[in-house]
Amino acid sequence: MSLTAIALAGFAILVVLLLIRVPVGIAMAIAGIAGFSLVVGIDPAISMVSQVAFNALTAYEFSIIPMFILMGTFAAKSDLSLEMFRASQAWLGRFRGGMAFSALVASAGFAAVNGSSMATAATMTRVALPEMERNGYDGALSAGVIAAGGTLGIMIPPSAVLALYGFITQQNVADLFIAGILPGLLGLACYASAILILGFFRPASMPVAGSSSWSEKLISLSRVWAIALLFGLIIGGIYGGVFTVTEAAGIGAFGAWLIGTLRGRLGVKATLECLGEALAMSAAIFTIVIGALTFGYFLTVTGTTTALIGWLANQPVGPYGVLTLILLGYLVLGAVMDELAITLLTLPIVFPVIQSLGFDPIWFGVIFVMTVTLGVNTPPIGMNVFVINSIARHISLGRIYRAVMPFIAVDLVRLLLLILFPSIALYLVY
Amino acid sequence: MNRFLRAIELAASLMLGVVTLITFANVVMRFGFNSALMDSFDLTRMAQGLALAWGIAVTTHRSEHITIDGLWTLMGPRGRRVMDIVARVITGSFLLVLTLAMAQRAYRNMLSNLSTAELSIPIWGFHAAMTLGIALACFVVFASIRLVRNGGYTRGAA
Amino acid sequence: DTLRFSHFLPPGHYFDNDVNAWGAALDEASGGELTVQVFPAGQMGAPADHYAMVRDGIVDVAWVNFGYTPGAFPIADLIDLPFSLEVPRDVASVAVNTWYAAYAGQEMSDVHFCLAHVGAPGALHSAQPITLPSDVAGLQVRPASGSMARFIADLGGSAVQVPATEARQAIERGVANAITFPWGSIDFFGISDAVPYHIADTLYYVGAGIVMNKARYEGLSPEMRAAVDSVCTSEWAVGVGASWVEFENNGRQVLADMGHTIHESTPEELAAWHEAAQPSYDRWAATMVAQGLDPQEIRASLDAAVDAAAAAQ
Ligand code: NA
Ligand code: NA
Repeated sequence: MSLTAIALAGFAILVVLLLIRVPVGIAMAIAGIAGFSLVVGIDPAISMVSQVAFNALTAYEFSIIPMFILMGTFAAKSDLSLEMFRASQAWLGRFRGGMAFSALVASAGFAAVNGSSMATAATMTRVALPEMERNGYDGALSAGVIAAGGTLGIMIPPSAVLALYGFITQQNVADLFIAGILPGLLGLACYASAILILGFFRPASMPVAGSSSWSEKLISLSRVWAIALLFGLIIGGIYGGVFTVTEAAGIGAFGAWLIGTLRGRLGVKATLECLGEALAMSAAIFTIVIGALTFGYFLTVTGTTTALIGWLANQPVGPYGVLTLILLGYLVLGAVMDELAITLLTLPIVFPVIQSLGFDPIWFGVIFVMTVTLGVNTPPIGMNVFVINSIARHISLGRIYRAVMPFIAVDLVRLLLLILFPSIALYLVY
Repeated sequence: MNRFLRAIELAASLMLGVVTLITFANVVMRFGFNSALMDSFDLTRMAQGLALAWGIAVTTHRSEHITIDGLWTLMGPRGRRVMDIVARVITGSFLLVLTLAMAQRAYRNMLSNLSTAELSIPIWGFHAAMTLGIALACFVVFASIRLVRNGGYTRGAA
Repeated sequence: DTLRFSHFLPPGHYFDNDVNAWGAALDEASGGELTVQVFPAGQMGAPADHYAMVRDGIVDVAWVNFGYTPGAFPIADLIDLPFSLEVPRDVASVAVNTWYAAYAGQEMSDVHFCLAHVGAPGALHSAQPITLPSDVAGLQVRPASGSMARFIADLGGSAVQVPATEARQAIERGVANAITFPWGSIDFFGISDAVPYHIADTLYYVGAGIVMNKARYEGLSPEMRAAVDSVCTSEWAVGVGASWVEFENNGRQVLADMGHTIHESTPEELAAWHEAAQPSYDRWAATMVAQGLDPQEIRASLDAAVDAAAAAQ
C-alpha cells in the first residue's frame, strides 16, 4: 500500500469510528495507531501512543488549559457570568434582540476572565439559554448566539490557544494577548450586526423583553467589578512582568476562587464541585489532544503534512496568495480537527514559511488562531456546538449548526478585515 | 463501585487544586522569599498528569467524553443499543491496549532510572499511578457494557 | 531503504542543514541504498523522548540531548557539569566522542550508538555585573540544563525552570535576571537588551549524540553497516552542528558591538568558579560510586581524551 493510500485508509477508519459514536479522541487514537502500524510497525505504534499519553498529560505548556478552565468554573459558580448577563440585560433589554446582545456581551465579559471557548459556551448555555427560551426566544437561535459568543474568548485575553501559539513560535504572549483585544471587540460588533439583521428578518424569534429602571441599571453595573478586577490582575500581571502566562493561569484560578469565597458562594462543597467539573472537562479535552497527536504523528510519518505544506509554500502566487492557501487549508483542518492539535502539529512547520514571507508574527498569530478556531462551530466536529448540545439536549446538533451559520459568515468578513487591515490587531501592540 | 469512583473523583479534583496552588505558591515564594520551590517544575507536571489521567476515568464514568451523535440520534432503541455496545467494546479494547502500553513504558522508565531534574525523584512511580487511572477508565467502560445490555443505560458511548 | 531521522530544531535551522548534510553523506557512502528522511521540529515526538523513540523503533535514527532525561545516562552527565571541558567546541566534541564510545555500550545498550558531541559553548549572561560565584546568590537564573539548575542552587541563586519557549518572556519581564545560554541565542531570542553583562569564559557544554535503532542497524548488510559506520566518526561529531556553533560563537561579537560588557575572568576569579563547581562533581562522583563505577577513572579518561584531541588539532 502506498503512503497516500494508508493516509486515506486512516481517515476512513476515523470516520467509521466517529459515526458509531466512539469518543472523538479515542477514535483518532485508534485510527492513528492503525495507520502508524501499517507504515512503521505495531510495536512502535503502541510505544508511540503511550509516549503521547504521558507527554500530553504532563506537558508544562498544557497546564494553562485546566487552570484557565478552573478559573472559568470558579467564576461561573461565583455568578460572575450571571451578573454580567443580568447587567447587560438591564441596559439592552428594551431593544429587539436585547437578550441575544446581552448573551454576547456577557460572553465577552466572561471570556475576559477565562481562557477557553468551551468553558464560555458551557457557562452561557447554563446561564443565558434558559432565560432566553423562557422569554420566547427561539431555542436554536439562542444556542447559535451562545456558540458564537463562546468564540469571543479566543481573542479576548486570556486565551489558551494564543498562549500556545506564543510558546511554539517564541513570540511574546503578552503582545499576543494585547493584539487579540481589538479583533475580539470587532467580533462582538460583527455578531451584534448579525443579530440585528436576523431580528429584522425574523422578529418573532427574538421578542423584546422590557426595560429596566435607572436604579436597576446602576445596581447591575456595581456588581461586575469582580470581573474587571480579575481581568486587570491577570493581564496587568503578565504585561507588567510580575508572572508568566502559565503562572497567570494559576493566579487567575486562585483569584476567581478567592472572589467566590469572599462572596460566600464557594464553600468546600462548591469548590470541590468546581474542581470536579473543571477536571472532567479538561480530561475530555486531553483525551482529544492525545488522539489528535497520535493521529498527527501518523499523518506526519506518511509525509502528508510536509508534502501539503511544501506544496503550498512553492505555489507561484506571491506572499498573499500563499497566505490565502495556508488559511484555506486551516479552515478545512479546523473543521475536522481540534485547534490545540492543529496548533501543536502544524505550526512548527508553517511558522518558518510565514516568517520567510515577511509577515508579522503577532499579526499572523491572531489570524491563525481565528482561522483554526472558526472550526469550533462548524460540522462535522464543532466542539462548542457539541458542548452546548450536551447541556441543552433538546436542541439538536443540526439546528445549532444551522443557527450558527450567519455568525460564521460574519466571521469570514472579520477575518478578511484583519488580513486587509493588520493594524486592527497591531495598533495596541506597537 | 459508585462510591469508589466518587473517591477517585475527589482525589483527582484535589490534585488539580494542588497543581493550581503550587503554581500560585511559586509566584508568592519568588516575590516573598526570593526562592523557588525545588523541582516545582517537574512535580507540578507530574501532579497535573495524575489529576488528568484519573480525570479520564472520571470523565469516562460520567459519560462526558465528546462524541459525534449524528447517526446515533437517527437510530431506534435497538440500533442505539447495538451501537452503544460496539462503541464500548472498541473504546474498552483501546483503553486496555493503552493501559498495557503505558505500563510497559512506566516499566522501561524504571529500568532507565528516569528522574526529576533537581531532586532526582524517580518518575516511574508517577507514570505507574497515571497508568492506573487509564486502567480504571478501561474497567468502567467494560462494566458499563453489562448495563447497556440490560437496557439500564441510555447515555454516552463511553 | 529509508532511515527516518528525528530531531527537534526547526526546519532550515543551522542544525537541520547539518543533519541533512550528514544524511547526504550516508546516502553517498551507501551508494544510494540508504536514504535519510529528516523529520525536524519534533514532528515525531517530544525532545525528551528522542532516545526512547529510537529504542522502540518509532524512528530509526535520532539526535538525543543526554541531559533531557535526568537519571538515564549518569556517566554522560559529566559532560554537562560546569567547567567540564575548557577547550573549543571542536576539540570538546572529538574528546566527548572518543571518550563516551567506551561507555555507551553500558548506558545506551538498547540502541546502536553512533556518535556523541557537544553543542555550542554556553556562558552566563545577566542583567547586572557578575564576576564571582558569590554574585549569583539571590539571583533568579534560567538554567540551560538540570546540571546548571543544581549549580545555580549551589551558588545560592534560584533556578527559574521555564521551558526555552518561555525563556524570553521570563527574562524580558524580569522574572529571571540571568540566563545560561550560548552566545548567539541571546540576540536570536531577542533578549540582548535585558542581559547586557556577560562572562567570557565557557561555563558549560551540553552533551548530545546520534543513536540508531539496534535491530535496524543489525538488520543491515555488512556493507550498509560499514556505510553507517563511516558517518559515525569524530569528524562527523564535529561536523553535525558545526554551522550552528559557528553562528552561536559569532553572537559574542554581535553583543560586543552592541556595547555590552564581556568580562574575562582573572585566574583568581576562575579558581573561585572552579571551587564553586566542586559540589557538582561531588554529586556526580557519589552517583558513580553508588552504581559501582570509578569516578576518578572516568574523569581521568575524559581529560586524557581532551588532551589527545587538543594535540591532534
Ligand atoms: Na479569554
Ligand atoms: Na468543526
